[in-house]
Amino acid sequence: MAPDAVEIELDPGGRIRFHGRAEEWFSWLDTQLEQLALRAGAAPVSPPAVMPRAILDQAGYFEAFPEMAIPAHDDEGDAFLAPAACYHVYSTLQGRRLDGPYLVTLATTCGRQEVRTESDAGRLRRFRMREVVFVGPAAWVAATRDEWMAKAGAFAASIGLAGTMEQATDTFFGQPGRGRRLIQQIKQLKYELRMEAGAAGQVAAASFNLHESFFASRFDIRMADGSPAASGCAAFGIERWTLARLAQAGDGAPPT
Amino acid sequence: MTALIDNLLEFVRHDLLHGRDVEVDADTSLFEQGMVDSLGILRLIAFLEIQIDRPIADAEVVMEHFRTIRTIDRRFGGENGNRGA
Repeated sequence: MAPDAVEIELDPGGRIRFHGRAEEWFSWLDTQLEQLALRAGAAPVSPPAVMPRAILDQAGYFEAFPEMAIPAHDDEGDAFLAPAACYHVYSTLQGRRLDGPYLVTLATTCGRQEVRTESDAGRLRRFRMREVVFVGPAAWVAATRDEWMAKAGAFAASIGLAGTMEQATDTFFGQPGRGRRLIQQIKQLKYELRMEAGAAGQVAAASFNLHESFFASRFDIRMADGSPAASGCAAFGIERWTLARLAQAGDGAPPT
Repeated sequence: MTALIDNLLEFVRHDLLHGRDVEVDADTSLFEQGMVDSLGILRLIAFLEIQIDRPIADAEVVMEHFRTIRTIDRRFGGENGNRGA
């Protein structure tokens, strides 16, 4: 049975609000994904509500997406909604020398000036993103990314969600263009877990990314022996998971 | 050693690497330590297209085919009379 329309409220500005059973699923999914990360050994991180321009500058965000960031009203001055949760992590690790692999999970309201129609629930301008972020030796980061692809697929299946894991090339860092896209394709830097989400269509409910040393270089993050660190992340769009769950498996109550 | 391997080795050593002091042979991984970057892959593809006399579709540009000069030769070396020189 489809959720009652009043449970999903989409405003023209690109924000979705869930009520009733839809809200129960939204909260449950975020909690379950956090628990999945904690059980895997990730430390919880509480990011600030907004992100200073300086961090996005340092991360090269405006080079890749000059018009995408959404300004935030903040007493601290020039700040934006985080385009992705993981930028907070690289900023926190600025200049650090890591004794070993670093694994954290965090969630925040993200903002992007996405090109969208008013009724497009699958492409929001404000959305909740939960991430698992891994920073450490490149081989460990790559293996951890692959583990998270498996974990996410298994979790989706466990709650009745069908999806397909597909390679993608629109990473959120670096310069645009065919060369970058082909390098990403060859190196398999990004996969997406795509799901059918009813009226929202096919959505990328999660992405699994390798950044190589891109962010580590920009934030001077190295291993204790001086070797370059690498980073990667698994990112989950909670609204998209909620829409997919409601569309694919009905509006029964979440498990208790 | 095929003609395509010879030509690619020459191209990678002298054009992509600009004489940098990096050992490259037919089995060297092209995508470790930044040997081939986003501009380099476009130049490599352009060079290869000339060698095989046809355009290369994006879908063909995957690690299985581009990991090393030898894997490139395995995938594309039979085209346009490159094999067995």
